[in-house]
Amino acid sequence: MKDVDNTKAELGYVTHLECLSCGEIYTLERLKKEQGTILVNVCYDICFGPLDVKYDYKKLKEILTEEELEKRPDTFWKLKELLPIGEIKVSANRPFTPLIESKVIGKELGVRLFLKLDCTDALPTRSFKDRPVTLALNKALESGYNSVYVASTGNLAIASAYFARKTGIKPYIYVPKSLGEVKKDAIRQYLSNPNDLKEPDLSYDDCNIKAMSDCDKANEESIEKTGKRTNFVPNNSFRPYYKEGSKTSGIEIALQLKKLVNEDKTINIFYPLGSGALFCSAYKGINELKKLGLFNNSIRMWGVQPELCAPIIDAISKEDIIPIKNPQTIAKSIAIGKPGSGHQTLDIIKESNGGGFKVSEKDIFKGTLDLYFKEGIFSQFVGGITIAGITKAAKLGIFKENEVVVANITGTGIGRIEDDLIQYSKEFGFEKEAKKLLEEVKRDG
Amino acid sequence: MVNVKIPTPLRKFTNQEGDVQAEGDTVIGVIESLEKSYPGIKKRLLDDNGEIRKFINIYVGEEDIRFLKGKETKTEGKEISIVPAIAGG
Repeated sequence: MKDVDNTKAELGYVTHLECLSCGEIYTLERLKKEQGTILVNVCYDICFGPLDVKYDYKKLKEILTEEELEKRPDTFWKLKELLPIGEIKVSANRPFTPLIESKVIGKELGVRLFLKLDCTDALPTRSFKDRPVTLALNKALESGYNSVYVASTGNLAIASAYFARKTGIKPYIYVPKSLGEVKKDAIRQYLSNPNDLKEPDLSYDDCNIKAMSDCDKANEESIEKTGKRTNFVPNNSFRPYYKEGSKTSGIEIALQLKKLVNEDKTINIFYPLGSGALFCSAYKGINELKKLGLFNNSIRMWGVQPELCAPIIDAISKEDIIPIKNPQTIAKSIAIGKPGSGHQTLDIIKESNGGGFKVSEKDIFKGTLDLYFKEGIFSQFVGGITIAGITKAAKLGIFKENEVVVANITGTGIGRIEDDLIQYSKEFGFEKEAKKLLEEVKRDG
Repeated sequence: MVNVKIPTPLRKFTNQEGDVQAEGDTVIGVIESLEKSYPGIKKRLLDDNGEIRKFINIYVGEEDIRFLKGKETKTEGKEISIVPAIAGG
């Protein structure tokens, strides 16, 4: 097959892509020959399963030594050889996000609680989505793509709008017309042309289908004109590569904790679960560090979902993942009824001797308030769900005294949940607290 | 006869056609009919146990068959769409 973009059958230390479901191996040469690009999204020849990027770990072990890492600054690209890129083109000097020890909640629960803050401005749009989107946009620039199509109701759209502007890539962002103005404004602030935000009168799922179909049409046209694809959907067209960006979450946690806790301590890492993609990628990153001899602590991976949308946690005790139709939870960014990385998440929970918790809507709301009033962090409800999950685990006696626990706070509340805080505060009996939080956030800018 | 929408990765079986016709009162019937016209396609849709692969979504009309009766879902003349699963997040 003819080349459809500028990718080559050679990419740093990447050896091949492997299907996580059936194990089919796609070498980069095979992908170029069969697809005209190495940027494929699923196991197209066998089972449509997700693909995973594999590296030459033997060679990497020689390069990525303790001494070498010491010399490098703590940036997103610190272990760039473990990421599937050629040249760094986006956010070259972006720092690690902070990992801080909890001031209050940890003591209350009797654990050493660390908060990994992807909600701070260490990430430009203050959510973990900056990680995979950085990777996808870097791939786009390397490979000759110039337009990004994305459907989202929040963090992904905001991150895509920001990085599109930064890199000069043309954005086409689709959100349901019904989406709140707070979020629409958060997206618009990064668009040079407000018309780049499309607001069809469609559900989120249908917006997604429209974004992909418009992207396909645009590629048909560009292939006719230039012989090349120039349009992409970051979390779909480049999925195996996009996911690698989230690996940096786990890598940063491991490298930061290494300086703070002894090697013999077990580390319990908690993530909120939507599709499970971040959870799986972070675990992969930590395991790769272990493979390279750069991290030795044992880790246990824990996931938390809302009671109203817990297809992965429910499947821990069932045989399979039962999808949920139209899930409704205040933690909207993880209201995913058909989790794409659900099976892989379950395998990791089992392999790492971790587990999962379901928490109520009220506890999610309370966790979000606790994070603000006890730790000074205004997060999205996904931050609250993680705190609620850890609180539940501690009350059930899961942890020994002073055990090390990490709470991933994956997105800011600023410009994302103000309207929801007001709307739901009455229902859960937290009107006074929600009002105080919003007043303080507004006052402090 | 029902219309079946074929995703790009499976079009190598259908002479690059994105829309094909098939017979069958149920989704599994349609899959058997597709296999007769386009040998090899069934193995891509069903796993070794004869179940629809985890990473494939099949819609009858607008409805995901996982929310109906799975592969035994009646087609009732509606369009069938085969869509590789889109992972969110």
